[in-house]
Amino acid sequence: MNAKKAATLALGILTSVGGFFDVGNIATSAQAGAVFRYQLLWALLLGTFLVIFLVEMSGRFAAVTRQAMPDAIRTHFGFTFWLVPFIVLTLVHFLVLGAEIGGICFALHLVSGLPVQLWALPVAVLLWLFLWRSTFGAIENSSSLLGLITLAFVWAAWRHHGPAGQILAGMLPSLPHQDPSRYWFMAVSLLGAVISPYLFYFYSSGAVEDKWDDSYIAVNRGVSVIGMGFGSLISLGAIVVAAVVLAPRGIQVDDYHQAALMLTQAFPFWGFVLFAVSMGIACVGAAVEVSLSMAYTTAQTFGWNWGENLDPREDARFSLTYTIAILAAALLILFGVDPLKLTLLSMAVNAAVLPFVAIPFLLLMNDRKALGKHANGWISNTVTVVMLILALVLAVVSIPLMIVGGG
Amino acid sequence: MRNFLPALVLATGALLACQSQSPEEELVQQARPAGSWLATLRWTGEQWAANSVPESFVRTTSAEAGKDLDKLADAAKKSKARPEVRQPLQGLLGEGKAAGDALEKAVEADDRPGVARQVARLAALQARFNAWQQQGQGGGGK
Repeated sequence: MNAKKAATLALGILTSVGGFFDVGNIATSAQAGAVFRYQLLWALLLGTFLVIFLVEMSGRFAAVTRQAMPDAIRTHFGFTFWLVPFIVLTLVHFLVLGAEIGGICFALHLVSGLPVQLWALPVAVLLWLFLWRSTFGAIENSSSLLGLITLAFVWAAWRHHGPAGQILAGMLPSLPHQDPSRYWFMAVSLLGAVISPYLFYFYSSGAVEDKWDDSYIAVNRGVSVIGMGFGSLISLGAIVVAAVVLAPRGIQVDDYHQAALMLTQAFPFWGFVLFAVSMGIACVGAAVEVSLSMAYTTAQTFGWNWGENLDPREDARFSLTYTIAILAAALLILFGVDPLKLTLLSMAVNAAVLPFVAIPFLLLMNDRKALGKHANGWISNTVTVVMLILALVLAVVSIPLMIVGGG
Repeated sequence: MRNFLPALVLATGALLACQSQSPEEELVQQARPAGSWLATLRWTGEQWAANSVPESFVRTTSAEAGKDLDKLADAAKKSKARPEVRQPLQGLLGEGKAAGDALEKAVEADDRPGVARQVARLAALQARFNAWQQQGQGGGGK
């Protein structure tokens, strides 16, 4: 591997770690740790395993074919085949973008004391301006590298010395001791937070923007496995911190104000600000990625010009898509939708729709004409299909249970 | 696949059927966030005293807790649970809201002994709430 590739790998790992954590991870990890302590760590592990497979595949496809996923699905299987997954994906992107904007507004509310809704439009304008003026490299490197601040959760977990035996036991699936409907709903939300579909669609378009070719296959594997693996350590840290700090006090996270106290024990005095800054930066990074992912999939579906490195005049419809998406998602927060409820709903929907948005992509990964020797083998196919079915079953069973149970 | 979906729907239906609860058990489940809010208010007060959270955070947390406690009080009022289960909860929720308001006022006045008093009051309320939950889960003293 030459020096340029080694630098790409190192930067890719750092941005994957920094970009892994978002509002969904904060909300679901805090709730899971506060209510079930370490018992849901297995869901995080399962999600991490699946996201590594999906991200590696999307990067491999882009590197070999130099095409992003929606573009390739449309040209291989036709527009009609891709239409339903595209609509589902757009809905999911929209909900997740609303949740991320809600997270940024809440972080600003924490430091300013001003109402969450008041921040919705200024945040939308600043996000749009950032996307309008920046290149892909600047976005990828700035927001994701700043996102490394979320490693504060790992540091806090380390300082709390959580019980190693219980943490290891939680990595194996077990039945709940209490409130089964909530337990399964949280397991699904954790899965959905880790494997947000925007992650692998964004990653594949990003690889095309960065002009990857098949010499980047090893870099891609390193970024997916090491970057995503270490990224999930931050979620693990957040679960441990919530289990050590919130659970013994009887604090369950029904509102973000309750999660805001997570770091104050490990870092007295500045833990509160650290939480707000971590949440704000993580959500800015994710909001930018989701907006771009939505614009990428829309432009690629309809065959428009696309690319964050292009001037907005050269891909006007691509730029218009993220402009409308940001404004519409900000309206959810402006009109008073609860950011935490929106986040939990988005994460559960993420898990439920995963098979619909991942199966076309899995079919493509088996196209030997396009991928040659880089097409999926039976191990990748079996592992991915089994885990997708598991995510679907959990989602179909737990979401109605939670709604009926009044959660 | 043809048999899989109906089986899944049946399994979900069976699980939903198993979820039927008495009005008392339902009220205990509905009231769960109240205990969490009492604990949050208490810890917010402690953290303010330790200079770990700003005054604005105490104010907004107390406001959010107040809104939720009001909603829960309304739900308790409409509940079909027996009065000996429902009424103590209504009292606890009212006292919890008052303690949150008093905590906010003490913080605004920078009254540290006052904050310590409200923290102790919230701890006592949390203990009473836990006892009420145990009693409700056990059938409300049938």
